[in-house]
Amino acid sequence: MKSIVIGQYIPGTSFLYKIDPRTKMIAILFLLVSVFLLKEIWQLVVGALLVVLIFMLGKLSIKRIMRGLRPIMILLIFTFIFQLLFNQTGNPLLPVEFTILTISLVSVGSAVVWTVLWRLIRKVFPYRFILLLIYIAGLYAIFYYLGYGPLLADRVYFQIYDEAVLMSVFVIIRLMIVLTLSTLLTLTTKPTDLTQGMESLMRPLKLIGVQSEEFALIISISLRYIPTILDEANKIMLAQASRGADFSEGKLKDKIKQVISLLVPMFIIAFKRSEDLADAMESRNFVPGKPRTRIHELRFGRWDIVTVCFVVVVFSLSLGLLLW
Amino acid sequence: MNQERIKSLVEVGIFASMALVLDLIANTWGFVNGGSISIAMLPIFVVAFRRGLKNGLIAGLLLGGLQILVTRTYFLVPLQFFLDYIAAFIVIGFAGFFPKAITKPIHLVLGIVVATFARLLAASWAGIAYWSEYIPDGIADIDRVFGTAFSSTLITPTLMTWVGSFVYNAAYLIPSAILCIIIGLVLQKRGILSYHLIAE
Repeated sequence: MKSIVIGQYIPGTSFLYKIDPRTKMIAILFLLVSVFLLKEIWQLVVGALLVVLIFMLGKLSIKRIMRGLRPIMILLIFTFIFQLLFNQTGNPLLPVEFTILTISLVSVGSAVVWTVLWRLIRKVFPYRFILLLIYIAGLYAIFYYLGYGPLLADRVYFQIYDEAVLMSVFVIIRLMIVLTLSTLLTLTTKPTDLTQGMESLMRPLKLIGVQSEEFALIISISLRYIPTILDEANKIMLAQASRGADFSEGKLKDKIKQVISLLVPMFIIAFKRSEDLADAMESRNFVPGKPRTRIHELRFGRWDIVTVCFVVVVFSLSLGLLLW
Repeated sequence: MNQERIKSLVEVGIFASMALVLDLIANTWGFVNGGSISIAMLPIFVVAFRRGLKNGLIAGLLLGGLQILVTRTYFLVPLQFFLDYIAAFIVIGFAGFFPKAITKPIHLVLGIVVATFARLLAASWAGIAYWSEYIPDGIADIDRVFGTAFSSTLITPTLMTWVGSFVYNAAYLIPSAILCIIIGLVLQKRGILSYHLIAE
């Protein structure tokens, strides 16, 4: 429970923290568009270096950001392999094409039997990793040799093309840039500042009937109550644990019962809390949609001018490269 | 009128943060490894049932917004980001089409099923949007990869990404919906869904 960290924000004092949230949002939007305009690898490499430079000047640890990417790594690896194997443009890099598999009814059937067998043996055999290797080798042998019967797919070729290598590198660099760049906003801006910036940016939408102030108010309420509700959930869970509830073990039915024992008090407290808050707001004469005043007003500074200049240069350069 | 409006506003805000909290602590319960199966949608359903479609949609949008502000989100392709974190959460508010769900079990089940299905479509579309951006151009020449027998069947890489994306999202959304229905029915039976609504 204690390991839950709320928010991505890392406190700091570098120039990234001095940019107005509105400028930062629009700047990042334009930078992301610029990345998608680039069509050559060398342009992307320059872009990647630029992103690293921004992070270094902003005194943000690149290592930490990379660690944040870990959950999505599997997707990146998949994308890389997908491009590498299936992209068939350009010249072949290997001297011959390998036929690696033949998928037929017989081979698929044998593979299913083999898998069942492996699952059964796994329960009694002590060396699981060795067994896994044997299983994979057997699977390969089945698909290589048992190509009889009606074919579902024949001749799965293995060949790598030069364009595929370039393309897969291109795709990965672009994804890395986009992923890191898009975290910049939440890393260096407090959620409350982001909300305020969003409200200010959405204000023109009032013409089409969107109440940005109202929405910003709801976001602020939500952000304000996340720690409170989390704390409360903790307390209820501890209280239920003292009555013998165990939230991490037991059968599914018991687990659901325990979750209900948490949710019933949580819902009732939430209803009571919203009513109290609504009463308090009403008694202070709050009218939805009317302008509000704030303690901290957003102000543009000199870093905003620098940012705008930088973004204009980058955006027009990438647009120029695309059209040129 | 004004009082009711303020109440709805506040309820939307507080229940959206409750949804986020449930999402955060669901990881520690371990229904499934990784904890993708969560009851985070339940508070949004409840707001939608109690306060109508519009407030439900706002609550959904808010949960998506909070995910962006508070948790780690992944921007891969613009369309994917929009679908994954905005559209997929807004549509949870579709449960608001069934306002009678606060007392009637069938409406509750229907509302949750409709909203979850809408979310499933949006989330799957996000997956398709990602793969269609990063699927290799040369893959049209499928005979060269999978041989002639394969291309005569209906299985194409595009179809594979569609089915894959749908199955991946269904794998955690359907159990989540079932969990929400079970717990929602219990809450409904205990009169929690209509808390302070019917008496007025």
